[in-house]
Amino acid sequence: MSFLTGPMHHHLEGHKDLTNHKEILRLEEPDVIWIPLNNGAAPCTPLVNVGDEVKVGTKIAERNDHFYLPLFSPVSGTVTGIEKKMNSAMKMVDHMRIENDHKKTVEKPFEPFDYEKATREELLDFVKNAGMLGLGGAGFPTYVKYLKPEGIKSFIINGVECEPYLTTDYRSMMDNLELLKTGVLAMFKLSKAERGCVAVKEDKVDLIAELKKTFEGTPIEIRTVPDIYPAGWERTLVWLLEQKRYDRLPAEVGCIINNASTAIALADALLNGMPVTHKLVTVSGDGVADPHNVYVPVGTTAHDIVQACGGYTSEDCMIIAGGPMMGSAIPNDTFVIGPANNGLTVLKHEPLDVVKCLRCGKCTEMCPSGLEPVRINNAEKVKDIETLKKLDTLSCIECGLCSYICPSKIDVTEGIRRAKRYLALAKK
Amino acid sequence: MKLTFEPAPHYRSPQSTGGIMKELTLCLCAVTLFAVIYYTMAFGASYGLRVVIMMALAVLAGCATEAVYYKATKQDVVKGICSSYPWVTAMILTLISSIDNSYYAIIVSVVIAIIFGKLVFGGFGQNIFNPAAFGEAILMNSFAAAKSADFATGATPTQAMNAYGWMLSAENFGTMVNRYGGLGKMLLGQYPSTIGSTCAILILICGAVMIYRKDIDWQAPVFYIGTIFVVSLLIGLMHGAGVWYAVFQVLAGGVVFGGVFMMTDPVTSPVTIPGRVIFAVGAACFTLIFRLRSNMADGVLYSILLMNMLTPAIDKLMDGNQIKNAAKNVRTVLIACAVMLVITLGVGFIAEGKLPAGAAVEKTSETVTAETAAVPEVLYADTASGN
Repeated sequence: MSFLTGPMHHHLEGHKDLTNHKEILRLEEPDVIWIPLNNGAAPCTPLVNVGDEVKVGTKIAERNDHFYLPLFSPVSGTVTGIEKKMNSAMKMVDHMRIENDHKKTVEKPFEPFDYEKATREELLDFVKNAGMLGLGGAGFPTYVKYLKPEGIKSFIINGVECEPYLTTDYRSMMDNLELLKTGVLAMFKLSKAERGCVAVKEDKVDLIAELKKTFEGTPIEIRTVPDIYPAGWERTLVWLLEQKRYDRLPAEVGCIINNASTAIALADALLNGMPVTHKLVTVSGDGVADPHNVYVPVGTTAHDIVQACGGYTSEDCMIIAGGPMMGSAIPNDTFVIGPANNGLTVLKHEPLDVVKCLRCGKCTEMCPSGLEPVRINNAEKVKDIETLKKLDTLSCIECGLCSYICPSKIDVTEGIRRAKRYLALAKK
Repeated sequence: MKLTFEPAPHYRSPQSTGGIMKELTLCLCAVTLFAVIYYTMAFGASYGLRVVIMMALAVLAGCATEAVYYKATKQDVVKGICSSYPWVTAMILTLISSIDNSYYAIIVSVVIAIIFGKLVFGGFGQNIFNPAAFGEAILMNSFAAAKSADFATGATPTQAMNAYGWMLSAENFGTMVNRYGGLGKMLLGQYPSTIGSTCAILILICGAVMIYRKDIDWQAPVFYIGTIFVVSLLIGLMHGAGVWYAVFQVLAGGVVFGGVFMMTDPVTSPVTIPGRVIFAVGAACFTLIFRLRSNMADGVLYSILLMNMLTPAIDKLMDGNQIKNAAKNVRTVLIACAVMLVITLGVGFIAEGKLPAGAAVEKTSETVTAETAAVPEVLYADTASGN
């Protein structure tokens, strides 16, 4: 089939050696942190008042609409306010300001938990109350994926990390193999799947060897995927591993997917009774002096992190929350690291020499969703709603491959974003 | 210190449109160089020089036309020309014309190709027809008489074959093709035809390099040349001809050059892969039908122009999600190709040679040189135009 559809992926130069074998930098904890009170587009309700004392692990807010997700304080100190601030998705949301007393007093929000003895339902409740969320970047509450295990055959741990520059999953897995094993096995139990695997890129030879050793004697297989982008996107991953396509959710074809760092976080909660309070963040790119993986409390500003890595190397930089393909450039560095952020890419800003589209069709061949970005861009220019619908515009995940591959350096992905916004407006 | 906002992604492929055009230009230069050497060796230095002058005039005319246009529309002239690549059109146009065209005719054709083939549609990326093919059609139809008799090179293989209705017995074919030194010499480009379309092996190497460098797609040339080979093999079998017939169909005229340098023009071919397959198979079928049933010596040019015209329709046909529509797209490609192939095979089935039964092709002892290049009257009568 791929003969008529094109490869639908592309090998990207990863620049992973900038950080993947470097020692992790542990920052001096900042005096003030801001916790973004949102989970995706949903707001979280604060559970403490201004002036309250909090400890490391105190439950400070929760999302409680159709999903439930608690947020925990990463530092001990005093809540000093709730302010509107721009978050890493460039939305203005409430942030809880906590002044750090640097005492690091801990209040464990829950007890360690023996997942092997517990029933599946008890374990699911634990995952829900421990505030586990997708650490690959989406921040989706983890327990939701496991609510309906019926028909799940294949359980996949995503350790692919296909964004260029980012190495947190690699580093976390290498440094926490035993935690990874515990977390993966607990999730495997939740999934009730017939088979399970940890998927990593085939070029990570050292990691594959370690994983094979770690998971020996367990039902978990180690599977490899080629070094292509976007191998870590759920649909592409399911296609690479299972040769299946689905319409909306991977559960339709019996698959359940979680990120490797999420599994490690779950193990930390199970064994140590601690939720996600700190994050490993890759700070990389040619715009930062000393690229590193840094370990910071949630709520640390990007500015502090970049300064700790030697600061900017150019007078005109772009700071990107996440990797350079899907992360957006943010015009300031006052935003903070949320629980789902795992990277800051800093690049020197070099204006592109944009020329006219030559209709080469490379964007169409590369699109992992099977779309025709060039046709969508053209239809968007004339606001042709019918054609935009026919072109299945809303299936775009904004992976950025069409802009990457465009030889004319056109912002193809941005054109599709405009088209999606236009379709959303037209619907109203 | 400034933090700039730009929409994601912030990571771009090293390949650029300018780079693609540079490599295409280098390939066209290689083909031109071969032509200069061949004409100098086979016909003399004045012929080689003529190729150089024709090429230089065409490129100058192309760039000058665009310069005037950008000046008149108050755009940056240098930037305009550098991102519109008029020299590619001029070079291809020159390479697909024959050496006896007058300089004047080449210049006028290039100017018309640039203005009416490209600029009136909105410039690079917007044109419907391959501008070089458009210009060559003008050249063939409007300047058929503007030939420079001093530079005659004799009938080309396509003109000769066309005179016999593209059907010959093996023996007569052997006699005919021997005038050009046999199929081997044709593969190496050692025969007169249009300036740049002869050396199949060099053009194929250029094509392979450009495919490897991802400057062009592989579907259009492979399906175009492949369809011509397979279908003419079948047509040949219907009439008792051997593999040589299919090889000749591929090597003669503009098939290889058109397949590599013109079918792959991204601007005028469909954007999807299934679309390009239909485009290439369709052009191959038209090429064979024109060869077998029309008075034109070679059908490559018009088959490309015709399929260019159908490109927007093919694109519309293939619109939609390529994964969700995969089965439908496969079906569409199979049906479209099957219909075109059946029609072409039918045309091939009823095709007849023009040589009276029992007659033999006249033998000429030497291969073509400047001295033996006088064109037999009968050929010119049949092939009023071009290559």
